[in-house]
Amino acid sequence: MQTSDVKKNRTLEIISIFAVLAVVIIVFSKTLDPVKLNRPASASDLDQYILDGLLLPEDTVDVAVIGDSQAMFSLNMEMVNDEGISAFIFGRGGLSMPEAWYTVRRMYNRHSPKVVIIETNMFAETNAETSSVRADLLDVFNAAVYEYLPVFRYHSIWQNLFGFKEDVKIDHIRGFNVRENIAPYYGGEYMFPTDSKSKINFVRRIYMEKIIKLCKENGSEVILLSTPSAMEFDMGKHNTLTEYAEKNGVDYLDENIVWKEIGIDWTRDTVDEGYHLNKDGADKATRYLIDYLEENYQ
Amino acid sequence: MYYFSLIFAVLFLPAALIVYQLLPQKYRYIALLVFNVIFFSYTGMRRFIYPLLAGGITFFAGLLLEYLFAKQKEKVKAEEDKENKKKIKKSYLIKTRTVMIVSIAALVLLILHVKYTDFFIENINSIAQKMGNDHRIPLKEFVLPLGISFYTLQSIGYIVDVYWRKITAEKNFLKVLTYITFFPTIMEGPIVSFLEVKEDLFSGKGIVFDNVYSGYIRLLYGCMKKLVIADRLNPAVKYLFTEIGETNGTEVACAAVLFTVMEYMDFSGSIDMVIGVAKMFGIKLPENFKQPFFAKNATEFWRRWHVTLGVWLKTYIFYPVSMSGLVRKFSKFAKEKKLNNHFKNMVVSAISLLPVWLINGLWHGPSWTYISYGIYYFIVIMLELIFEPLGDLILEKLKTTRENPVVTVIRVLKNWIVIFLGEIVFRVSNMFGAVVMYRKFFTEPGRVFSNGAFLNWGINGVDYVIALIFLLVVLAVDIWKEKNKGELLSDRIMLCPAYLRVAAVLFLAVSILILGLYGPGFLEVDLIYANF
Repeated sequence: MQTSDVKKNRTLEIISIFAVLAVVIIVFSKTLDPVKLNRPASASDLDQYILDGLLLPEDTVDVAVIGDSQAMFSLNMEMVNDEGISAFIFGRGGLSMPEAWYTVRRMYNRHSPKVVIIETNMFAETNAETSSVRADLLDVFNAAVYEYLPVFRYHSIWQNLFGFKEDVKIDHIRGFNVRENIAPYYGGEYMFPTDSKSKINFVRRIYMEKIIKLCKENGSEVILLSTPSAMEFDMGKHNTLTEYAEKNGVDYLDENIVWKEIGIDWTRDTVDEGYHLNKDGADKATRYLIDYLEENYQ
Repeated sequence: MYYFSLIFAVLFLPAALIVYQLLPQKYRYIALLVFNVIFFSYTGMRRFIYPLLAGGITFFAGLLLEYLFAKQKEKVKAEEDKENKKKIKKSYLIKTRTVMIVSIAALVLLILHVKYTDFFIENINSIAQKMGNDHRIPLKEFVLPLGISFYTLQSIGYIVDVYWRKITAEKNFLKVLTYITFFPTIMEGPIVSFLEVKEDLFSGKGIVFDNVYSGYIRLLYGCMKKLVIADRLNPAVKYLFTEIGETNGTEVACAAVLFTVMEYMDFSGSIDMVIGVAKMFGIKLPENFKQPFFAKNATEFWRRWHVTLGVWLKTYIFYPVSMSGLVRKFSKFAKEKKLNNHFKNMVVSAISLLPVWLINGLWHGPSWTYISYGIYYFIVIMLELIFEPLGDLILEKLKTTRENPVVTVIRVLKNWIVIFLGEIVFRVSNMFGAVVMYRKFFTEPGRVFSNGAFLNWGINGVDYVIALIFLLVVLAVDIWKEKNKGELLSDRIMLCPAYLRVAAVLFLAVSILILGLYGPGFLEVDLIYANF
C-alpha cells in the first residue's frame, strides 16, 4: 500500500514538473521571439539575415534565394534590385536542409515570390563530418525544436529586452554578406570531366522535395543554383544535381561549369582561398544570374 | 553528441533506457553495448577500431593469463618435489609477467601512435632545426579517438588486476567491450576498475523509477554547472589566455582564477552528468570530485580532484614503484648507512612520485605544458613533505595545531594559490606563453576592476553576476557535501518533501533553459577533458 502511494505521488510529481516546464517553454517561446518583438538585431549575428527578410513589408520579395553562406557571399542583391527585381537572400551560415524547409515555409507566410532560387551547397556538400545521415538526422531534430519551441533558439535575448545588452545590427544588402578582402586560390581548374556522381543522402532529398513541392504549390518557379566555389564544388556534384533537377522538373543553373565564361579570377575573386567569392566575384556571378533570369523568367 | 545536448537528454537516453528495460535481464548489457556504439558513432565509426583493438588486447591478455594460471596450478599440483614446484612457479611467473608487459606495451603503443606521434615528430623537427638540419618530418595529424586516454587506463588496470588475481578474466568479449566503451564514462571518465562496475554493469537489474528520477536531477545539476557557469566564463578565459601580450599581472591572476573555476565547473559538471546517467541504469560509479577546494595541501587536493585518476596512478604506478627493487635497495642502503629517517622518506617519496606525476602530466596531453604541470605538482608535493617538520615546529612554537580554524583557512588559501598558479601552465598553449604569464604575474601588477577592464574580456557585467550567483549555489552544495561526507545529495533529495524536489528540478531546468549558453549563435564549448 505504502509503495503504491509512493509511486502515485512520484507520478504526480513528474506530471507537475512536466506541466510547469511545458507552460514555461510555451510562454517563453511566445515572448522571446525576435520576429514577434520586431527586434531582429537582438538575435545572434547568424540569425539576423533571415529575420530581416521575414520582417520586410508583406509581399515585397519577387525573387527569394535560399541557402547557406555560399548564397550569402555569392549574390549581390543590390545589382539584382537595380535591375528592378526585388530579391532577398534568406540565408544562414551552415543552414541545414530542414532549417531551409522551415525558412521557406515561414517566408510564404509573408511573401509570394515568383521565383525561388535554391543554392545547392546545403543540399550537395560532402563534408564527412556534416553530410552523414547521422548528422542530418540531428539537424532534423534540432530544426524542429528551434521551429516549434523558439525559446531554444532565442533564449538569450532576454538580456537585450532588459537592456543589459545592446541590439547589434548586422550590415548586409538584402541578405548579401559583403566581403571585399582577397585570399587567393591558385588551384586553377576544378571542374574536371567525369561521369561519376556524388551522393546525396535520403534525408536531404526528402527535404529538398518538400521545399520544391511547397514552392510549386505557391505558384513559384524553382531554380537550383550552384554558385562558384573551387573548393566546395566538383563535376561529381554537377552530374548529380543535373540529374536531380531533370527528374524533379526544375531548372538548374551551375555557375561552376561556366566559371571562366563568367570571368571568375580565382586569384582575386575569393575571400577564403576558393571556398567563397568576395564582392568582385559575387558581382560577376550575380551578373550571370541576372542575365539568366532575364532570358528565362521575363 | 554531448551529455548536455538536448538530443542526448530527450531522445538518446530515454531510448537507451527503454531498450535496456525491454530486453531480458541476461542480455541487457547488449543494449548498453549497442548504445555505446551509437554514441561513439557520432565521432565517426571508423575510429571505433581503436576501442575494438584495445578491447581485443585486454580480453585476450586476460584469457591468456587465466590459462597460464590454470596450467601452473595443474602442473604444481602434479609435481611432488618442492624444488621443482618452485621452478614451475618461477617459469610461470615469467610467462604471466611477459603476457602482462606485452599486452600493456601494445595498449601504450596504440595510444602513443594516435596521441603522441606528432608530439615526438615536432620535438625531433625542433632538435634537427637547432642542429642546422632543415629537413622536416611531416606531422601525421591523427584525430584523437573518443575516450582513448580513459579506456587505455581502464584496460591496463584490468590486465594488471587479472595478473594480480584481484579479478578473474571475463570470458565474454562483448562484456569487456561494454566495460571499456560504456557511453556515460567514455568521454570524461571517471576511470573505473572492472571490479567496481562488473556487478552493476552485467547483472541487468531493471530500471528503478527513483534511480531515473534522481539520475535526471544530477544530470540537470551537471548541465547547469557546464552551460550556465563554465561556458559563460569561457570567452573571458579564452581572451586572457590568447591576448597574453595585452594583459597585466592582475589580469593573469584573474585568468588563472577564472580558468580554475571554469575547469572545475566543466569537469565536475560533466562527471555529475555521467554519474547521473549511469545511475539511471542502476550502475553506481565512483565520485570523481570530493570538494577539492576545501583541500589544505596539494596531496589532499589530488585526493579530492579527479579522484579516479589519482587512485589509478596510486594503484598501478605509485605502489609498484614503491615496492620495486630500486626502492628496496635504497631502503637497505639507508638502513646500513643509518641515514636520517626524514631524508630516507623524502628520497623514497621522490622515486615513487616522479613517475606518477610525469605520467599524470603526459596523460593530459602531448605537450610540454602538461608535462610541466605534472612536474609542478611533483615539486610542490615534495616541498610540502620536506617542510612538513618545519611547519609542525612553527605551529608548536605558536602553541597551535593544524586543526585550528584560522590555520585551516590559511592553509586552504595557500593551497588555492598553488592551484591557481598550476592552472596557468595547464591552460596556456605553449611554454613561452607560460613564462610570459608567470613573469607578468610576479612583476607587472595593474588595474582590472577600477578601470572596468574586466568588462572587455568578452562577457558583460550581467554574465559575471549570473556566474557568481550560480557559483554560490554550487558552493552551498559543496559545503553540504563536505559536512555530510559519504552521503549523496542526489540520494538525500529523494527523501525531501516533494515540493522541495519539484522546486529544485524546476529551478535547474528553467535556469538552463534561459541562462544556459547553447543553441545557434553560441559556439559549442567542448568538454575540457573530452580532449584528453
